Amino acid sequence: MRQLFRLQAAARRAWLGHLYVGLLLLIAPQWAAAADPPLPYAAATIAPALRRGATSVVRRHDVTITLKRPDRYTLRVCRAVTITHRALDAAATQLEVPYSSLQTIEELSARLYDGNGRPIRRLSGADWHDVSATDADTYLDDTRARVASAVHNEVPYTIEITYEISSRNPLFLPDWQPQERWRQSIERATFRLCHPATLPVRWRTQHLPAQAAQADTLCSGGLTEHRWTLTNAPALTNDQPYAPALAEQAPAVWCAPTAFEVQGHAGRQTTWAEFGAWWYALNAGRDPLPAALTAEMAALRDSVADPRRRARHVYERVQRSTRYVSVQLGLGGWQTLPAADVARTGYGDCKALVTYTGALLRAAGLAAYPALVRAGADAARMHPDWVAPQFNHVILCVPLPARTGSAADTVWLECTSGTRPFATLGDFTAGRPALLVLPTGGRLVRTPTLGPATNRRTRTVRARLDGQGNATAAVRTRSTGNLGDDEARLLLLPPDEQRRIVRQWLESMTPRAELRAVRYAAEAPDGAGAVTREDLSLNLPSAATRAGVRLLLPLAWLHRAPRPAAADTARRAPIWLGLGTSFSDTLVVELPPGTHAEELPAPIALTTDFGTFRSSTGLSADGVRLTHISSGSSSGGEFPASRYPELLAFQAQQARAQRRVVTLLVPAAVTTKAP
Amino acid sequence: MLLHPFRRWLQRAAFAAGFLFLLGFSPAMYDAHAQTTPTAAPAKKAEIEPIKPVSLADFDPATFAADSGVAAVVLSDYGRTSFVQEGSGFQVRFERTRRVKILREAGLDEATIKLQLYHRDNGYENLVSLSGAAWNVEGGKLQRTETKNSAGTTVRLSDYVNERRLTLAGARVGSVVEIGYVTQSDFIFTLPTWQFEIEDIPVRRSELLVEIPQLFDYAVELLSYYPFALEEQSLKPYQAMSVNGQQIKATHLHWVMRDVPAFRTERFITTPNDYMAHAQFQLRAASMPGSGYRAYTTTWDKASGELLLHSRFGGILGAVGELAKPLRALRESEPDQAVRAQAVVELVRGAIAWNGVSSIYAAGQLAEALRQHKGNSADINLLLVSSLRTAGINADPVILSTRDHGAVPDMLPLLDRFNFVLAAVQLPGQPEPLLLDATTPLAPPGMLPERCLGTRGRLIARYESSQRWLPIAATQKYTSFLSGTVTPDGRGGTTATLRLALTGYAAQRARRRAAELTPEQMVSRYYTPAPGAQLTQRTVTQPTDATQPVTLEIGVSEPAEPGAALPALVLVNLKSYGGLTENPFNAPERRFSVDLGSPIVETIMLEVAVPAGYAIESVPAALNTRTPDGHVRAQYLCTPAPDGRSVQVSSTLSLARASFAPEEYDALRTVYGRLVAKHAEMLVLKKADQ
Repeated sequence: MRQLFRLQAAARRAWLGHLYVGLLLLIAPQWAAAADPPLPYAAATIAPALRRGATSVVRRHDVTITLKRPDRYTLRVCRAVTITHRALDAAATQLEVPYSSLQTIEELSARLYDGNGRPIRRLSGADWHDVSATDADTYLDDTRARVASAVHNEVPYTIEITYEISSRNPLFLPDWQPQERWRQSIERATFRLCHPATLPVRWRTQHLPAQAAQADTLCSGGLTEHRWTLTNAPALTNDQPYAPALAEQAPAVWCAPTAFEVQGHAGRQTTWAEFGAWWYALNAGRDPLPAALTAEMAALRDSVADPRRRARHVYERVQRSTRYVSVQLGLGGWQTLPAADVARTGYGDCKALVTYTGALLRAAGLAAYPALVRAGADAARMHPDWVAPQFNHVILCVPLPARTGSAADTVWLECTSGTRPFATLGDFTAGRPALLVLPTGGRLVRTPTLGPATNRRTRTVRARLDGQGNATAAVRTRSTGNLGDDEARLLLLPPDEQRRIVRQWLESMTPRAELRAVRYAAEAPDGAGAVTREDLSLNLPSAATRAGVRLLLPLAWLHRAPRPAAADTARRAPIWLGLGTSFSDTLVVELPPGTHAEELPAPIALTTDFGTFRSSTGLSADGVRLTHISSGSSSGGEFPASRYPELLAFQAQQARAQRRVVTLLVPAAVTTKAP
Repeated sequence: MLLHPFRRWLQRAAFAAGFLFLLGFSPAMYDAHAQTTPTAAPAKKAEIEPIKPVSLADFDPATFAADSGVAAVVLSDYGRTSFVQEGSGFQVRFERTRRVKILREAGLDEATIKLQLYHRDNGYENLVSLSGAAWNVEGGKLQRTETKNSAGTTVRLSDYVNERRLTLAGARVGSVVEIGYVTQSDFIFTLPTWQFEIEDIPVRRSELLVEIPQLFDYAVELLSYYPFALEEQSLKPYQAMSVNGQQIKATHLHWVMRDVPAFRTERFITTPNDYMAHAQFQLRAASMPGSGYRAYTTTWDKASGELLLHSRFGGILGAVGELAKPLRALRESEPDQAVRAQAVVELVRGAIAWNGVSSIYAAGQLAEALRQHKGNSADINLLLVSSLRTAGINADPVILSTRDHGAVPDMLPLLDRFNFVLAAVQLPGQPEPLLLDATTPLAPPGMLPERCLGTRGRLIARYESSQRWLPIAATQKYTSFLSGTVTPDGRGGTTATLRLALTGYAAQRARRRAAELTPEQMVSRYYTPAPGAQLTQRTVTQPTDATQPVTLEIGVSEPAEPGAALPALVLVNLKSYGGLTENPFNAPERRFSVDLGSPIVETIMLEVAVPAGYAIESVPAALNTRTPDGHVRAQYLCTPAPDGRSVQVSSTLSLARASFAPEEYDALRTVYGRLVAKHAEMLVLKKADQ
């Protein structure tokens, strides 16, 4: 995974978890008082509706963000979580409070309470560890964290954590999302957002009941306070297939200042144009190249007239001579390394490689603009109406001028891959909003969508079946778009590894298949039309199974219908089908001599909003060759939860169709043929 | 050809002119091994050519034609461990130079080093130097790009570990990269471990030189399935110092291994480290001028004595806290020692639960563990030993290293390589001790945790005569029994009720899973319905009686297509109703023994009902196959009922041993594969002619 703005991700992850405001002093007299009434964290007082499906219950989650100046803010969190099933979610017992060169932990304490709400112990200095929060994929960043394991022997018990952070990076105000985990319910959570009238703050709410927002109040120091309260929110479960990420399903408030300043770089973010302008200014002047490279690019400009060919030449040069190394320094990972550094060392993160590639393209007489995106195949989607740094990656947008014979075109480049075909995007970055950073400011556009017509797999199986049910087969598969990406990854692997992966896949599809040969090739490796071709040569000892005088020949070779999920859970989450895809499978089987097919399956044609499926089976006039064609598509996109039964029905119909067999009557002479 | 493993612990007689003892493996066998390996017997030093400089040959595709299967190739890896005097003490100096050819994008990680440096109390592991270079060919010429230590960065990973990171400029696919570093460490108890063989990357040449002054005596553990190209030991003057005017000498140990293929992990092994060629070193004794002789590890007799005196091992034996009263009562009331021992296990299980930590040393005081009702493996099973003794039963602790923790040497008492404790009970009239464990919350009498199986335990007893190794084998099997009925409705739909009963290690594993999974998740671990089928029931039952099976009740429903014509044939196989779907032994070849932990018996007995209007057309032929010794058996049988209204389908897979040698792998794989194929075969029910 290639990400540049990791601080944001790490910070959000941790903050979502342990936010809250300290009212510890109020608790002490209560447990000193008597056994009744129940203490605040007594497990017995949790409503049954909040226990349902939950492994932990947030008893309180009180967060205050105070933004007094454009260049700093404080975050105060008091969060208490009752762990009801420790083994089912051990991670809920791990505390983590992040810090970095731009943010400091001012206060931190945590306490454990037993099931009756009586204090057990306070986490001491020895319980807290200071660790690097850099993930394994990152070479270098400065995110660190104070972590502690708040494990107790008997459940239920409650973990209460209080902390305060002061940050010099108000570009990222933390989101307020009290449900930080699946299977976690909320008893009560509050959010207070305080700022002076001179420094307006914007917010956006998600899945909050109407009564959650309360009237603004004026508090000390002339600050305005906005307040939200969420009570009795049931747990969300992740056992629903095709569901969006937790961050898209959980109640939340996102907030962002209209004006901010980070390490002397001031900016505004009320429009995408403003935010883009800030990013442009932050990274401006970092693209001068060494003279030799500039000269090389100038020569290229003069020698290759076709701009598309020239862009490709530059892109492939970058791919050959650089590699991706994740370095998340400079303003929390938002400022690029100079292009000259990449020229010297041959490595950089996504910002640096975009800066470098852009500089080369410009030197070669082409325009090129960074495009910020929220990358990830399964990432929570970016909201175009919410102007805030929702990005974690940057790619390059290259507008190509019109020429005689070809219209103007736009090419998108993923600069962190040494192997991706020129001008292609995969499911990591395709089909989503992107903020183009132009000298005139930002402009929100969309990256090209990869639809069913692009993400396509076409497979032809030519097989010869003998009387025992054994077959030899030649399988040719051509894949394009996102499906081609999966295959293209195989293309890059060493043959040993290819064989191993194909074998594994075969084993899951058809046990006992023997892989005789596998070969990958790239066809037309340019643009969205890139095709990966896979040729397999197989022995299938049990392609058809013997059953008395019959051979049972399955029709779905090497294809597995989507597995419908259980229908017995009430669907709550919307249905998210991701990218659209399509397939077409052709099976041609030479039947053993003398056999004849008893009955051919009826053709099927299904058309739904979720996709299509059709199949037909035919026999050659002389009865020796069986042809089965099945094709279909998944439309992709989002559907309301109420349509889940329709989706299941569609999938079940496909599954049944895929399980059909053709029965072949085998003459005795063929059956008894010596092995 | 199969290579036979040899694991040797080289023990040098303390302070004597060095010579090798081959322990646990006779020299004769070692010689025999050398003759059966592809390369000849260990070469003389003169035959080992020095490491060559990087040349254009390293960029010739032909050089790597045979390496098409890997992401990178280690061209050379050179390590030298020596001792330097630092003030009044010694430091271990470790020099290393590693050169790698990057063949594919996945190999680019080799251009980055993350070197962990420890510090604790007043001891430090210091980085003396670090640098690297990348070579590429530009216009037919070698081009070298150097990266200095100053380009790197240090990250504080934790309170005790700093990590120095350096990534090389100019490294890309096709480059040759070399990273060299020197460290100097105050920690001399262990010397840097050397890995001759590594996962997924072949090694052309791996060389380790270790120079140990005679002041120190290290136990050397050497493991390899491959022969050494050079293996030498010599005594040379130790330049740095003399004691009382006498020149000290140093033992030079020198190994070179060549053309080591990439290690590929296999299923059913204990832990890769038990198989990959490596050398490990641990201090046995030191004799420092002025401070005299000090032994660190000695004989098992002495180690046992030390353990029994250790404050967190033998020191806590005897204390049983609040359990004293019930234990004494038990001693009075239960005359049968075997029954009484089991009652003690139950008592300890009830008093204290395992916190998941494996150690041979108790975490703290017994009183604290009892108060918290939790403890590590030593807290619990040392309490078990004390409790058994209090109940009048002769018991001693046994230490071992669990399967995932790796094998331990025979003769050298390397205590830090052990991580688990069991109790050994000597029952009257029994020749062998009975091993007991109280860390698993629910287990039948005498059943040991799966993580201990196939290992050896060392009995820690007061008298040398009783100290010995005890084999730790499964006393139970991994047993699963699937029963139920499959009812096709004759309209294209099917319902089934399945009951999976798990006993022995199958039950133990199921109980462990059930603690972390919801019943729905639990069922999906054991059963995947055919595409289009729905699960109508998912119930998991865990009896509190450990001898009773854990059961999963599963309801399956596959509705008929509305409005579809009646099918002419109804087809049913085992694969769709809990049968085998794939052969776990799918690799065509096997280098190591298949280590299952325990024997396995999997039985299926399903009744397939024949719907009204249909008749049995054909059933798959029976299968009864076994390996020559009968230790792997597969049986499959379809029996139509006399009235023709149902078919009984039964299948049994039996692996009677926990371990199978590589030579037996083919037979094991074939038998298993045949049964998998049978489970895919169809019963055919045909619509009766009207």
